[in-house]
Amino acid sequence: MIRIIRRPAYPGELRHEVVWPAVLTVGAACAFLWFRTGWRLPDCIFMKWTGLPCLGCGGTRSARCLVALDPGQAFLFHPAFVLTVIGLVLWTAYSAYVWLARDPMRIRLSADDAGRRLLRRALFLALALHWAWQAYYLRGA
Amino acid sequence: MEIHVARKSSSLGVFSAEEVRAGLATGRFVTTDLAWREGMPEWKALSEWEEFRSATPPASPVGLAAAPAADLPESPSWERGASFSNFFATIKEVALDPVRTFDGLRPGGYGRPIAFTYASLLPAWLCGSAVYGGLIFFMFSLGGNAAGGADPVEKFIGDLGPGLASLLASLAIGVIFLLMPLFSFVGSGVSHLLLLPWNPRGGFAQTYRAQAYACGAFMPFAFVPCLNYVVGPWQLVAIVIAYSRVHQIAWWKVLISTVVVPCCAGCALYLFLIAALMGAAG
Repeated sequence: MIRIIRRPAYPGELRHEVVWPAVLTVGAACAFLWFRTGWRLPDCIFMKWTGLPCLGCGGTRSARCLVALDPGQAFLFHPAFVLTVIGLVLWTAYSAYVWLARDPMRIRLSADDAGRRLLRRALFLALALHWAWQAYYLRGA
Repeated sequence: MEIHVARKSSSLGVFSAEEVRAGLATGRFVTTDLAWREGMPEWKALSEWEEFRSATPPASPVGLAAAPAADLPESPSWERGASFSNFFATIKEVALDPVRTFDGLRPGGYGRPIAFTYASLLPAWLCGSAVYGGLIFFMFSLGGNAAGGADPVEKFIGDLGPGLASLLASLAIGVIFLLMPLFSFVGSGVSHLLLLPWNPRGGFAQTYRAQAYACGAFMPFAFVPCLNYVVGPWQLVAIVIAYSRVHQIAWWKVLISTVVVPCCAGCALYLFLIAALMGAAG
C-alpha cells in the first residue's frame, strides 16, 4: 500500500524541507550563471554514436526554455525535467509554509514492501515511456 | 493500524502491531527504538508503549545480551567480508540508504576500503575500456574522414589508426584505475583538513574510509556515457552525508567545507588565471 501521510519528524531524520529547497535554489542559480556564460555542454556521446537520445538528452534545452519562460516547449524537450522542477517548486512552497507556521508535522510517502515494488516498476515504466518520447521528439534534433 | 519504527536517525519501515511485538521478542527491535502511529503528536520509545510491555525481553542475561546484537549492524556490508554479494549490497546501501550505512561505519583500517575501491574500479575500467575503446575503434574504422578533420585531437587519433587509438584509450583509463586510490588519499586528506574547523569526531582514517565507500559505490556508473551526469549529483550528496554521519558534523557545515570552499577556491584560481592571461596578452 502506498499512502501520503503527515507525521512528526523523528530525531536525526534528514530534513527534506531544507535539503530539496536548497537543491532547487542552488541548481537554479548555477543554471542561470551557466547560461549567462554562453558555454555549451559537450555533445551527448550516446546520441552521437547511436543516433538515439539518452535519458538526459533535451534536458539542457528544456532548462534554457524554462529560463526563457517557455514551459510548453520545455516540457516537449524533456518532460521529466519540467515535472521535477514543478515538484521541487511545490515542495519548496510547502517547506516555506512548514517553517513559517512552525508545523511539527511532515508530509511523507509511506509504502510497504508491495508498495515499494509497485513504485519501482512504475518508475521503470515511466522511464521507458519517457525514453520513447525522447526518441520520437528529439529524432534528428 | 500501521506503526512506523525508526532507530538512530534511520527509518526501519512500517509494521503492524503484531510484527513489532514479534520483533521485540526476537531482538529485531529494541526497546529504545522510536515508534509512531497516526494520531500521536510525537515519536515514543517502544518501551513507553503500553501494548508492547509484555513483549519486551526480560532483564535477564539473555535479554541483556540480545540488546547490543540488535543495535545497528556494521555497515557497509563490505566491512563484514569481501564477496560478490557484499560488493553489490554495499553499492545498494551507499546509494539508497547512506544515512544508515555511514551511521554503522565503525573505525577501522585502510585495507578493506582500498580493496573496495579496486573492486568497484574493475567493472568501471572494463566497461570504460570497452565502451570508449570500442567507440573509437568503430569511429575510425568506418571511414577516413576523421583523420582529415579539422579537430587536432581527431586528427591525432585518426593518424594512429583505429586499433592503436582504442588501445590508447583503454590504457589511459587503466592508468586512472591504478592511481585512483592515491587520488582518493589526497582527496580525503584535503577534505579532512577542510573539516578540521568543525572538530570532526573521527580521524583521517574515518574520512578516508567514508570517502572510499561513498565514491567507490558510484564508480561502476562513472564510466557509462551520460549516466555519469545522472549519478554525479547523488554521489556528492552521499559524500556529504558520509562525512556528516561519520564525524557527527551538521550536513551544512560539511557542504561548506567540501563543496562551497573548493568551488570558491576553484573560481578564484580560474579568475586569477584569466586575469594573468589577459595581462600577458595586453
